[in-house]
Amino acid sequence: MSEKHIIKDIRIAPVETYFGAPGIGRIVGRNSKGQNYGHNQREWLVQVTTDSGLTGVTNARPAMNRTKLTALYATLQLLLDRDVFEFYRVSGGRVTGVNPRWEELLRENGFIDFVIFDLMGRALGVPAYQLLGDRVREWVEGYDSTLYFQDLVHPEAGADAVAREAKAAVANGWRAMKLKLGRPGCWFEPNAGVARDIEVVHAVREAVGPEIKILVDANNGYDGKLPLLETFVRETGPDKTFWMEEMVTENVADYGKLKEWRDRWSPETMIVDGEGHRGRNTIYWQLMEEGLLDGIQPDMLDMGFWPFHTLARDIEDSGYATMICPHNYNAAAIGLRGDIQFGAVTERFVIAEDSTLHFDLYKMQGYEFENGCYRVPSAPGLGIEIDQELYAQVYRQHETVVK
Amino acid sequence: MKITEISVTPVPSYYPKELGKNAFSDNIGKQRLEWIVRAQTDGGIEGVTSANRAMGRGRVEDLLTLLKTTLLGREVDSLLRVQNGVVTGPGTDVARTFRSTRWMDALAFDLYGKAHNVSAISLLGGKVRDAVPAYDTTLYFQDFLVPEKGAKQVAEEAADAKAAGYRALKIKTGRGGRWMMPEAGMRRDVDVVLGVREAVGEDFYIYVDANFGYDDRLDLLEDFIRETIPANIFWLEEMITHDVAGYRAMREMQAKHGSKALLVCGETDRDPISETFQHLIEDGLIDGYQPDIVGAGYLRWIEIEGALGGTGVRSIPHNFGNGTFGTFATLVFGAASKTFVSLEDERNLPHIFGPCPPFKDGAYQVEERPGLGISVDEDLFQAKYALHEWQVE
Repeated sequence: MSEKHIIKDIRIAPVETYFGAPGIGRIVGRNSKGQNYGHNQREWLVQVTTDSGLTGVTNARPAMNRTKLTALYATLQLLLDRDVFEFYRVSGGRVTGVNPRWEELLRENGFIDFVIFDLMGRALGVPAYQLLGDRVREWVEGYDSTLYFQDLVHPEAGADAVAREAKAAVANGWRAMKLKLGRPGCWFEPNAGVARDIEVVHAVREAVGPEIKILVDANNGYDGKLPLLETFVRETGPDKTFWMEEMVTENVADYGKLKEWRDRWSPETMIVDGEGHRGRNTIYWQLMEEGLLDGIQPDMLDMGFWPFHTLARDIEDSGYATMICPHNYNAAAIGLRGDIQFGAVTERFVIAEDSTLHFDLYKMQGYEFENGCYRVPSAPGLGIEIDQELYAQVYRQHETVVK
Repeated sequence: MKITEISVTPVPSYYPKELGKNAFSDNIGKQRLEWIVRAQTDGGIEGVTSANRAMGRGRVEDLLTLLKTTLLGREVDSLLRVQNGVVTGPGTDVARTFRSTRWMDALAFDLYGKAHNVSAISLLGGKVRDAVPAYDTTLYFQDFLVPEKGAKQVAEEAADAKAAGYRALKIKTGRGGRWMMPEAGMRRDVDVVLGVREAVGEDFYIYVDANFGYDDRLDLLEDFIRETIPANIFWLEEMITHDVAGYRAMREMQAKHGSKALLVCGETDRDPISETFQHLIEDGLIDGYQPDIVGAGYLRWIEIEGALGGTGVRSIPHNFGNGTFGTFATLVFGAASKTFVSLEDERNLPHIFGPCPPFKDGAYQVEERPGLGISVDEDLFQAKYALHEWQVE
């Protein structure tokens, strides 16, 4: 039986950062269906402290994307006066199951699972990943996920607007990047849209060279436009994209066609999908059964460690070849560290989605970035410390203390 | 004179700064697109409008089809009914189309005016003022963007607005609606309003807009109204969702605490004047009505002003999200509307339409030119935007 660590203090604060710098940094443009991603981004930092002096963190943005602070407050109130070890069954230093008392709450709020793993790891003096198993890799690759429709931000440059930012990503150390596509969806005349999608992939490949992984994501922008999708797959075959993500909304018939074209023109490219759900919908298991889904992508922070771990385990047990490629974009910094922890222990993990944002407030312990990869840290828990001096100066006035 | 060519082009439009959250939406950002529709005629004139209202939830593909089926090949004179130089309604053949796509009628005013060498102001009944007052509408939850300054950041930006020549501004409030705890949000709202008043001084209009952020918290709304009395707020906008009982309660709060602020709302009325707003008007519970200038369109606004006659309710068209085009479009309307209050100014940086008319003492000078008085800087258009110009085929 572990020593008790009772949760006594919970604080919520919105934390902002910029792509570059306020006023002069990059604007990350739109995808196939949304408005500009923006010039800055934010996390809803939650700090949870126990009576034993441990402090764990998470980012409640998944909750704040769908609800109000009052609702988040009420959810977090449920954690007060609870032992950090009562949420999961822990045996031999490993999480072996979830306490049914908390299963629904944790399933609905995967970001809470983050802070529980952080605190359990800190209490046991081990990294968060070690609660799930042994480390299977020392480095986790990340991909720059900020290459949106930059051609609509800088229209005079066209496809080169994306290519020059891709080049900058390589100069900043990334060896993989994801291009937002699906221009036929909303914002372009469809034929012009697929032409630009193809042009962007060609231009980026030319700009970054053959060794860099190019991932593409259409956010379902080819829905109802399969002939254009066929054109895209055929024309970009020589660019050897690493994966094609959400080219169309998940359905067996369209995925069958996509796989046929992929096999013909771009056989090494993975077909991935699933960021909008938690991997349990029947359609994903149908796609896996048919061999139509090479990677599944529930959101890391929305999902949480344990539900993702059990999903990976169930896929393994089912004998499917589908890999794990967590979505991680709402979670600019904390989610990425969770992704790295999860990747450290998950054989099927492919690559971590990286919004490339830096928060002055966070001190990341041991996550060195080298050759496009992050080192798996050995620090307890998530290895994220808060600069409390900066917090007191800037963020304290905006914090909400859960009582 | 027939419409022979139509195109759609997304043109980036920049704010001079990052805009933060309002009561329910996350950050607005620094740049948005204006979906510019250009229509050429065989008489050599060009009309423009913004399709932002269509593209909010739409697709270029559908927009091109719509423009083709409704406008291509259409006679310019068939677009509007005009008597004695004043527009009285839509042309018979386009009446149904304009009812469902009201953003299009600005194009009709522009084309018709240019074809007949008259201003859209004249088509709306004629100029009633030489300058149209405008307010800075960019004071969002800027305290979240610059957390180290908090409420002071909004006050600093208000002072900047004054330095830029504005004599009125609108402050977004309703922080307790989503992003803060209700009590703390109300406190911050109060701090912001009082801080802004201190920053801009007495001779300056302050408008407040909560985007319904006080829904279900009339107790806190009353606190807000009471505690901001020293700030002498000129109007209170969308403090709660339109509702007769709620607005009656607000009137009572105002009477109790001595608030003289106008109560205004209506930007969410998608088919103005819909029933609840009719009740609010009939019962004297609102003082200003705010359907969107482009979304409702000039034709609907003509009808609205007819219905508002004698009620004392003033015209305050919403304009946020319409970009530079919206500034010009509201300016035209404001020049011709007797009960117009103030132009909602996003302060977009100039692009293909060139700079707005001269701005002096917090108001845009009215310059009557044919149509909407907008022309496209063709050199700039070709250099920066023509790559994404999609023609209606």
